[in-house]
Amino acid sequence: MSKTTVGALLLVFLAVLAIGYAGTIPLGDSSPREVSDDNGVAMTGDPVELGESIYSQQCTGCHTIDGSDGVGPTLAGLFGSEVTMEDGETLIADGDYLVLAITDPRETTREGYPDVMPAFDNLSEDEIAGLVAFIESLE
Amino acid sequence: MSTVATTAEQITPHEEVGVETHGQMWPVTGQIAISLFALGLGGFIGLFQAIERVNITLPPFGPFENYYQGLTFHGVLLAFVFTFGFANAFVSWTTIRGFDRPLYSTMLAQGAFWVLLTGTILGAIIMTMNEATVLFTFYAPMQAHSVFYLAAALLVVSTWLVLANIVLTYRAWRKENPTAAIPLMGFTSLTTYIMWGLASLGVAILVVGILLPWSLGLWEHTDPQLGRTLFWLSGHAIVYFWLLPVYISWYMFIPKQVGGRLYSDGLTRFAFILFLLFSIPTGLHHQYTDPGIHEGMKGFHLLLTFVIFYPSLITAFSIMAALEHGGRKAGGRGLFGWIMALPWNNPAVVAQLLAMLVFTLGGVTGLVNASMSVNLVVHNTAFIPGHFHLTVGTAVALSVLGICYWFVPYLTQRPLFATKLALWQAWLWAIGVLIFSRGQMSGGLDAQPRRTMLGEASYSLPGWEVANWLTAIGGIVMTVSGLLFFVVMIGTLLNKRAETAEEKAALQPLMPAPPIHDHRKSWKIFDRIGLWTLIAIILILIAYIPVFLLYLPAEFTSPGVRVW
Amino acid sequence: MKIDRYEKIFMLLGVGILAMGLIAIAISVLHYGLHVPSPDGRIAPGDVRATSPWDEPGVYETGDGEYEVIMLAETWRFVPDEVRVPAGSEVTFRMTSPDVVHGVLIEKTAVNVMIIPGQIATVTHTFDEPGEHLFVCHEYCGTGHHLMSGRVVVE
Repeated sequence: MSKTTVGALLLVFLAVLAIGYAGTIPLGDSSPREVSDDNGVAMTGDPVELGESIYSQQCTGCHTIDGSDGVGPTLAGLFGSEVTMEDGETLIADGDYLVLAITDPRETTREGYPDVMPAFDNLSEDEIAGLVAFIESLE
Repeated sequence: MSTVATTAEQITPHEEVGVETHGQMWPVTGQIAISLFALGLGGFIGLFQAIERVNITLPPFGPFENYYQGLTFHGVLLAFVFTFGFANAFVSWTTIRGFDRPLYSTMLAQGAFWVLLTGTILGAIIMTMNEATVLFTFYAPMQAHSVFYLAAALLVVSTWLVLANIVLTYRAWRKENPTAAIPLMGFTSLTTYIMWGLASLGVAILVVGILLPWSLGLWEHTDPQLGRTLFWLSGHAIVYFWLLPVYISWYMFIPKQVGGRLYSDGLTRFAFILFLLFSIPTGLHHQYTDPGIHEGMKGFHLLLTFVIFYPSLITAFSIMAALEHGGRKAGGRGLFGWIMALPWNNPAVVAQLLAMLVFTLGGVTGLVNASMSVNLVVHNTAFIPGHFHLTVGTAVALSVLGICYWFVPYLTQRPLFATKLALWQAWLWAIGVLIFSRGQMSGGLDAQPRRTMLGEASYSLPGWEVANWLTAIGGIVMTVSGLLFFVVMIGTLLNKRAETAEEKAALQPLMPAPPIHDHRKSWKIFDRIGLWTLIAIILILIAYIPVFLLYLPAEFTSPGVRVW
Repeated sequence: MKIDRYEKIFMLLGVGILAMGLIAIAISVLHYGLHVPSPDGRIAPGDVRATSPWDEPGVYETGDGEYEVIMLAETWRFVPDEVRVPAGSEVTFRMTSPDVVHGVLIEKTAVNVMIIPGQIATVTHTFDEPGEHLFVCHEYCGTGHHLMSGRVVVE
């Protein structure tokens, strides 16, 4: 490396340092502001689409739709299937069960899964219906 | 200026020290290999975390199921395997050269390699199986597979084997040299490992005494607050265990590499003694916001944390003095002229010089974290990873890369491949990390949480967008730099082995030049290693007994949970 | 004992810089009252949901312009996740976790505390200006960690 290159690189280094760190560090606006709480979920007419949109925002961390296991059970083929609860009881995963599983999941923990799902009772009725419709649409 | 016997400058060939015949060199090379392997794998996963922030999720996080699994892999491989492997290898070697004799036990030297390898493989497997997505802090009551805790224990045990070997080597040397001052390089190696030996007790008690039996089902509950306190008893000192092997290079080899000399023998010993004494009783500054610990104790640890900043300030002085000495001898004139006279065409030097420059920012941001009330603004925000990518991620990691540029050619007896590429590697890393950390730190000051899958988060603030882009761009530049390093390393391994005497002479190991000021005689008390160790233990007891007294009895009420 | 002159100058400078930092922190704590959390009792994680006050999390008015927020941090949400108070209120948050370690940071405030199972975390802050403050979980608590947030609305 020539002296010029070294000099130039030193300058770049110092420039990044000066521009980046000498200025006021926070990039954001510090005045009070509205915090968006719609989570970017688009409202559409189709409940399945609405459900899919909520699913992709809030459920993918634990539930897959390809049949593989996550933290929680997969949603593929869930609708209408027979499921076993923590206490060994079995029941059919119908619409009512799914609504309960979304809004009060600690009461509907399935055998072999941890009791960790939070209640999504902040979702509106339309949104919950959308999720159920989306789950029903998965084969 | 005093002149000192130049024995330290002469290089005793391996054959004469006897390390080759003892089979002590291959564990050094082997642990460097494990270390660099961990760096490559763990570092590459970092790319996926950086670009996830701008919503680029490559098929998903490399080989991993989710973001946090990759993050665990990144943290464990880099914070534990990369650093432990390098320290074990490099400090074993500086012990051999420092005392100019083979290590006391070949079995311990080789054992350290095998234990480190086993721990690394077990850990990597269990993390890849998604059975231990608990991040490198593994806070209970998140419960990983027992193999994960076993692997963590093995990694620590490997450092203990090296510690035992260094202490035994020192004692054997002392027996033969009852009155001589401890050679400086031996002194720094010894104090580094004794410090870590004391520090690692906290995490060892936590992992072996509490978490491993718990994960095996021997008991059902843990006490998370107690666990955090034990973790951070080791958790700040570990920072110095990462850093001190690099300081050994800065103090011992860098002056030589820039054609200068170390400033002062006494000041160097003083700094390392301070690290031995104060690295450990400072752990609570990672727990300022823990509800279970009294504010008064946090204040006490704050005080000691400021003390431990001091030896790094001294280091800044010593190293700068050595650099200026070298620069002026090379013909540099004027206030700053000596800077350009430094060997900017030697990648081993350039990488470490840039690491030092970046470390000044790392040190300052560290003081921010340590300042108890200011910590409320930054605790657990992205400011923290912003800070420690400047320290362990650059001051340590980039220095290690720099050291590898002379150490690996020496170990393998093959000349360095593509020096120019190596130079660009160093520059790219330094510039990349400045961009990366700028992004993380500004996001953090704007309330962005650390180690969070921000691209998928259900919330966002306007200031984060630019921050995330800076982080992603910086991360990409660092990845390119990392790839260049491995091109250089692989190229070096493919180079022809040195055969002629001339070629071999070019690959001689570095040895430190004698310091400009040598007050060894007047600073004899620094060599009382046993005394200093005792004082270090007393300081730990003073700093931690009240914490535990105020906290105990522990309440084991928290059942283990798997949340991934 | 011999110490070189430049060494001595630098060593004293170092002591001075650090002493100034410590004095500044002492002033921020003792004069401006920027305290870090201290112990406020313990509770077994298994008992949290059945023990008062966490069996009924929510925002409670405790006095004139004083509010208490009983908050549960659980995988992966805060209960309640919306806190509405009038401007000028002094709000005390009392929080605990029934499962794993969480943490909370309220933006533009000095509220930053770990929420550790077994421990009760208590912090107080006065919200002077109307506006909204995002708060997020800042300690990894599992796969849904990034979904865990809420807001304080100051009216």
